[in-house]
Parts: sequence; C-alpha cells; structure tokens
Amino acid sequence: MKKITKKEIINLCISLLLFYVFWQIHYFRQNPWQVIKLTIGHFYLFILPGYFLLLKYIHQINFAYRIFIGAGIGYSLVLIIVYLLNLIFKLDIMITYIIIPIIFIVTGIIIFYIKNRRVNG
Amino acid sequence: MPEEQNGIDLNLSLFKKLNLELVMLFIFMGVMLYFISVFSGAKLIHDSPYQYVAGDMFFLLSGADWITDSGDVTKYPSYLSDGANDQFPGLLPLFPMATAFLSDFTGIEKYDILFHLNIFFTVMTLLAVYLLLRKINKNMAILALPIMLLMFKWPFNYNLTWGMQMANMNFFFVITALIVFSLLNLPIMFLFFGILNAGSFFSHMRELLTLGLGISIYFLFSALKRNFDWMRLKKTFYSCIVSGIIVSYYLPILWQLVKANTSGGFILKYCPAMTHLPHFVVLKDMGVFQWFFILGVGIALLTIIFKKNVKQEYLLVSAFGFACIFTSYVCIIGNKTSHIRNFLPFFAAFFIGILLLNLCSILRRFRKILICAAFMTFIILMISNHFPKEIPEYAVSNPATWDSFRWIQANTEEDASILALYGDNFYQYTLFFSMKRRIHEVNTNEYINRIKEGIISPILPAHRRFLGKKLVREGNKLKDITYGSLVNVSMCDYDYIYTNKISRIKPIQDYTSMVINNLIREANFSIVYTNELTVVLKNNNVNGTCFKEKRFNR
Repeated sequence: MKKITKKEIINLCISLLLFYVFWQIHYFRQNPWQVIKLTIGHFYLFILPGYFLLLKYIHQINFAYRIFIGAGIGYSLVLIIVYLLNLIFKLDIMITYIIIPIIFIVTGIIIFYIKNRRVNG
Repeated sequence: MPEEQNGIDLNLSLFKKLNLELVMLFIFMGVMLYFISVFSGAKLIHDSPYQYVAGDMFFLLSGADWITDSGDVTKYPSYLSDGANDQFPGLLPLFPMATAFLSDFTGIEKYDILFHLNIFFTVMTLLAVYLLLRKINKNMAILALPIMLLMFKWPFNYNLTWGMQMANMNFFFVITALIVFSLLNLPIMFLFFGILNAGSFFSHMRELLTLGLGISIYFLFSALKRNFDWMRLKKTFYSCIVSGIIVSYYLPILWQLVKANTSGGFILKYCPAMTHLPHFVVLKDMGVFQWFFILGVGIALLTIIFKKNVKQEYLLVSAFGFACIFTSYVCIIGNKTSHIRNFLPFFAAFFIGILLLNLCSILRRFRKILICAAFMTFIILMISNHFPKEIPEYAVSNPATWDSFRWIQANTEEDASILALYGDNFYQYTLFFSMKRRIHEVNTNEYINRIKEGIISPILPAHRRFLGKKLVREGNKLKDITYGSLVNVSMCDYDYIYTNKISRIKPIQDYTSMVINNLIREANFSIVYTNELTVVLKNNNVNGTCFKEKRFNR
C-alpha cells in the first residue's frame, strides 16, 4: 500500500513538473511565478478533483490514462456542480468554485482508502 | 487493462533504458511547442486581448466578465440586455466559467486565460487522441501524432483564434468520453461517462451529437461482427440516465433557445460546402495527407467488413471517425455544425494511423525502422509544408481601445448609455461587451453614406448591441422572445459618445473630427477621455438641444 502511494505521488509530481515545464517553455518570456500560478490553478481546480475520484481504479487503469480522464472529468464535474448549485440554490459561483474541488479531492481519497482497506481485509 | 502494456509508465525506471516510444514522444512535444510558438507571443500576460481575430472571442470573454462580476450564471447583466434585467443567458456556461475561475484563482486577466485555455484544450485533446489510439496499438498512436499538428495551421486554427473555444473544450470532453467508454465495464465507470456527456452538453453540445452518433455506429458494427456487448449497452443506458438527470433542469430552456435560434425550425439537414467562407475546411487543406486519409478510411472499412477479430477500440475509434465525417456534411440546428470539419486533423489521425500501421505491417521484419522513418518523415513534412503563419497581434482590439474601456468602467455610471460612432475595428461589435455598459453602435454603412452625401446630422440609424434576446425566465421556462433591430437615434440622447479619432481612411477620420467638433460647440458635449486612438465625449445635457443637420463640402 505504502509502495503504491509513493509511486503515485512520484507520478503526480512528475506530471505537475511536466505540465509546468511545457507551459513555461511556451511562455518563455513570462515571469515563472505566473506560470506556476497557472499550473497550480489547473491542477487544484480541475485536474486533481477528477484524478482523485479515479484513484479507486489505481489497479485497473494506468496512471497516464487516469490523469487525462481525470482532467476531463474534473473540468466537467467541477463546472457542472458549481453551475447547478447556482441554477438551483442561487449560490454565488465565485465562492463555490473554490470549495467544490477540495470536496472531490477528499472524497476521492476517502473512497480510495475505504476500498483498499476492504481489499487488504 | 494490464498496467504496463497499455499506458505510458511515468515511473523513473523508464529513463534507465532507451524507450523508442518515449523518445518519439519527446521529439513530438518539442515540435508541437515549436508549432504553438506562433500563438501568444511567448507571453501569458498581455496589455489587451492578444490574437483575438474574430468577435466570438469577445462574446465568450463577456461571459467570463459577467460571471466574475455577478457570481451568477442564471441571468445576463443589464449591459448585455440593452438595459433590461433578468434576461436568461443563451450562452452555454462551462467555458466562460472555466475562464472566470482560473482567472480569479490566478489573478491573470480573463482575456489571457481565455486564449490560454483555447490552446490548452487543443493540446490536451491531441494527447488524449494519442492515448485513445494507443489502446489499439502504440505504433499507430505514434504515427498519428504528426498529423494532428495540422490543428495549429490555417484553416484548422480557426478554432483557436476565431472563437471556437467552447467546441475545443467539448472535443476534449468527447475524446475523454471515448476513452471512458472503452473502460465502461469497470465498476461505476458509467457514472463518469454520464458526467462527461453532461459536461459536453453544457459546453457546446454539437460534438455530443457526433459522439452519440459514433457510439450508435459502434454498436451497429459490434452487432454486425456478432460481438455485441450487452453489458456495455446497459451501462451506456445507465450513463444516459445520469446525464439526463444532470441536464434535466436545463432541457425545457434549451428547447426554447433552439426554437429561438433556428428561424426555419430545422433540426437536421444536408449542409452544402460553404467554400466562400475562408475558414471552411475542405480535404485539400490537408495537402498530401488527404490521400492518406481517404486510403485510411477505405482500409478501416475493409477491415471492419472482412476481418474476423477486430478490437473493440478499433471499432469504436472508426465508428467515431465515420460519425465525424457524416456530421461534416449535415447541419444540426443551424449551419455551424459543419465546424466539426475544423477538427479534421484529429479524426483524420485515426484513419491515417490505421493506414500507416497496415503499410508497416507488410514488411514486419523492418517494422521498427519503418515506423521511425515514417514518423520522422511526417515530422519533417509538417515543419516544411504546414508550419502555421504568424497570427495578427491586435486584429480587433488593441491596448489603446482596451485602456479606454478600462477608463469607462472606472469613471462612468453603471447604467450609462453609450453610442459608438466609428472605428476601423468596430466591425466586430462583440468587442463592446467588454466595455460593460449599455451600448448602441451607429450603422457603419449609413455613417459612410452620410460622408458620401456630404451631410452631417445628429440623427443616425444604430444597432442596439446586446447579447440578450429578451429571453426572460419564469421557473424553468422562457417567455417573451423578441429581437433587437436597427433604430434611428439622436447622438444627444446618450450619456456618452465613444469613437476612434484615427482611421486608415482619411475622409472618415475628417468626418469624425467634424462630428466631434459639432458636438462640443453646438451640443454641450465635452471630451472626458482621449488617448492616441479613442475619444470619449460626455453629454452634459442629455436629451437637450442638439446640433442641426447641415451640409459640408467634401
């Protein structure tokens, strides 16, 4: 379990680094701090929520697939939930958008641990 | 799916031995960075909207502006509704929301984030297509990569600079949905498939129709191959229920928006080639690759018909490719459905990959060398023949215009009415939405006619520039659908006059100066803001006496 988690964290860090390097090369005349903020924004708001929700498939789906599918699901799910909360309950979307990603991240981690505890007996 | 066979192992152990696929992938990433270097000027932050070539870019920017300002997606602000309140937005929300959130989170201007997201989703789609094809065969996926670089070249890059952001986002959802569909037999994966489809619905919708058609064709192919997967069909059905629940609240509204936006009431019809449009994609835009594409389509068809054991992913990808080809020739709710043609490099990559893989398989002994050679040849062909041309930096907006907008936002009343006179860049009227004020714009043709006739008059026909179509929401229904029209207005009825004082056409520039002078001398206007390009005049006596119509010597 610890080995899997460590490998997963390393893979995640490499993805984050690759993402940053790619956009920093593209925006090479830009102050790195802005590109770092952009990278954190993409990952926190959209990519990580989807990625963590897919963590339960760690043994079935390869990391690269999970991060890409996770990005698709993250962009889709976070935006839909924020939109529906606004449409139905009139919640201010400029507040909910900060809160919703962390809820999905925590949910994904909890599901992962519950599933693994069951598997490990 | 075995872990190490079907995916890229991002583990460090990969670097310990030479992995040919990884080497080609890195070469490709380098070339892609070179291709996208024509966008953004190597900077994330600009003084004003950069490389915004057409009005739709500003249309979506105004969406992100209004979402950030109000925190509410359910109604347009009054400045986008010609002064009316509570108008329901006919804009699908996901892309403007993503722009607003990322901009608010990072503190980077919305117009920069919007353009960045455009490139971001295209790059992500490209890599997602690679991963999708890799589920069929990794060599095929590698060979398909260079073809997708065409996305950054005209006319395909119309998607990037002319305002097809929502479609770009949606195509990423669609490709991701295809990967998820291939994994649908995993527990509760149908839930994610449903979420992606709902995201697709709320981001642009038309590509979702293509996806739906593609999946239907896939089931048809499976049935013909006597390899029908009932479990997958059942899970697809479950996912439709999930999507249906998510979008149900919006469906009655959508139906009325569709009715409001389609004058002829058609849903599906044949769409003739619109070659008069500069951005309309035809096969020859792919150069030599069009022949590879056609051959690839033929081989895919033959494989599906005659080969016994065809991979499910092969059927799925081919089915989606055929659906893309079909929807390129039909109109679904308006003409622009054929814009799927602008994604041709993505779905052509499926078929070209299939063709090349088959060619390389003929000489099995040299397959590895052939694949490397084909990949490098394609890369060289792309760089030499298909490298994108420079994009105009400030085609519509420019820093001077943007400074004047910022001044108006900071120094005029929120309910101020503004009349825009003339500017060489005013032809894309959505530009004015970023002013965040109620704006009417003088009809350019009439303005030029007055110059030709030698008449200077305060009364001119003007367009009411707004997004709302008087769609007022009651519960989850809309009422009162009416449209804006051209009306005769008096310059002296507005709080402010906004114009460019410089024009590339000298007689227009002189005429505008004359109008400004008349407004100041005879109608109680004063200049409150000016820069090297623009002027803002304040009306100190709204609805008061105006200057008289007169003739002048041309």
